[in-house]
Amino acid sequence: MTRLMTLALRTIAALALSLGVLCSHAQPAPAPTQTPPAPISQTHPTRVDAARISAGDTAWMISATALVLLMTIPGLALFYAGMVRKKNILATMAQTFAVCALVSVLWCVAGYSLSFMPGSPWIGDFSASFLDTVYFNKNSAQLSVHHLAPTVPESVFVMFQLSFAIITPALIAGAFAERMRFSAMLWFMGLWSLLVYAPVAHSVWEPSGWLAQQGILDFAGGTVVHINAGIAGLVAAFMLGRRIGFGQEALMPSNLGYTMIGASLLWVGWMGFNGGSAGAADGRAGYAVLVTQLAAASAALSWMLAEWLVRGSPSLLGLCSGAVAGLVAITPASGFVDARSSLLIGAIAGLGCYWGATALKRVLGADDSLDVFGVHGVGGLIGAVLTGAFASPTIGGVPGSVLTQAIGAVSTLAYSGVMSAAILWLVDLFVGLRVTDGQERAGLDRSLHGEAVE
Amino acid sequence: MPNPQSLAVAAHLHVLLRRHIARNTDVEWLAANRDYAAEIHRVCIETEFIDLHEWAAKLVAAHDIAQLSPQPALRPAAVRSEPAISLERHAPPPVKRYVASLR
Repeated sequence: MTRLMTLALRTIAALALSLGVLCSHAQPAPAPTQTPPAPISQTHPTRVDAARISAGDTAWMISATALVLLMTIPGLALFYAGMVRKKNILATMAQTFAVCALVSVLWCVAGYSLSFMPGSPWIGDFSASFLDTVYFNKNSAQLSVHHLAPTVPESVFVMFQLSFAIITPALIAGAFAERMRFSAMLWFMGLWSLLVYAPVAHSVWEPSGWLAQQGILDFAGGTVVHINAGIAGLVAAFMLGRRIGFGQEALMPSNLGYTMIGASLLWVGWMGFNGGSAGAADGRAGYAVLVTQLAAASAALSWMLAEWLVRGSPSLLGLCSGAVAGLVAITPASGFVDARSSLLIGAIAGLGCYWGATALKRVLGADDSLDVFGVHGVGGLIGAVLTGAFASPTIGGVPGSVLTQAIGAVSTLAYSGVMSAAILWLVDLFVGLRVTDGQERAGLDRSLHGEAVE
Repeated sequence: MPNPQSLAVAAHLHVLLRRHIARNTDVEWLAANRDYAAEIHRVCIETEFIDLHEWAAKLVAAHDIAQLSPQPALRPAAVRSEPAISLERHAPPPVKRYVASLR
């Protein structure tokens, strides 16, 4: 018994000793290997973990998108409708509304892909047709981001850019107001958004685009939106011909109160237009919003001053037009210039666009009904060139070049002008561009839509 | 109470004015009040629309022919400080605003 107990005690002691040796040599369990996050591609949309998305940036971009969409519906619709004759109010609004719907669908089908996929220096590709690159998986917490906005979901980037793609062709409608067939308008706008807007947007904004490679500075679309739409509007005005009574009788605006409401929606919405182009809720977005406001204000005052001196009195239409002119001009510059420069840009744009909508219009001789070229075309040109002159490396990170800006402006004028003319010619061949004289005299509201403002 | 003829002319002129120059009128007052009719006549002949000229002339004729009932109390909007306007006055120069230019 004693021998058995001794053996047990020795065994226990040995076990205890072994355990102690083991414990003294025990190592902590190795940490799981930390795999670095996959790098975001600089050329293509990338799938990333949801944790890499910035909630602040995303919230701002969604808000900015809503603001820009409001600029079109109902901002631009009201702005234009108030300036046409009463018998064409509803038709003008219908054009804007229809363009919004049409371009939205086309953007999904091919517009986004042609604009913002790498492709060639001139045009994107079809890899994102039907938004195939846009990915969201709730279970795996993964989603796609675009290389131009890596901190927000690609879906948000798509939608933000869509709001720009919508308003650009909608602007053109002001040039051929009161005389274009609705079906022809739809064909033209659809083709234009794919064959003109997409290539220009790609050239300027997509890093592989040829103008982007040249170093063009266009923060929010002075070239892509305003010069582009402006020249297209001028070409359309020429090709459709003058309205009946243009130059002989007063073509009275129906309700400048609508125009003021529309201009106000444009002004406020432009905070999203320029601020959202920063792609983030950051200091640059804040600065863009500030200079946007200053440019609009100084342009409204300079247009008002010019009109006061020339006509003898300021007008509400002049104030609204001036503000829009300033907003147009600051668009390309808003991410690159400081406050003083923005005041100057606005002041110059107010005077320049007043000239564009009056004296230049008489020289050109086209019936650009609502002065699309005078305000957006001329304002866009002024803004593009002045961006090159006033761009601050401190704010935008890069210096500007007036020559590069001029190259971008002229090439866009040329491409958009020629392609717009070609599309209009084609649509005229198959559909016919203009309403009949009887329809025009009766008003497009009743003639084309069977409706009227009583 | 305006007579039926002047009322008919005034109503037709009202429609034409709305259609051509987006101008609204008070039809009953136009049919009954010579001063108001004279002013609308002036507005019509300032325009380039032949049909407005024609119907403005008819309005003048309707007022000349009509046995107008005693004038109703003048509405403030129709009161003019100067004497009643002659319907024979020459038309002032046509309005230049919004002709060939919106701004």
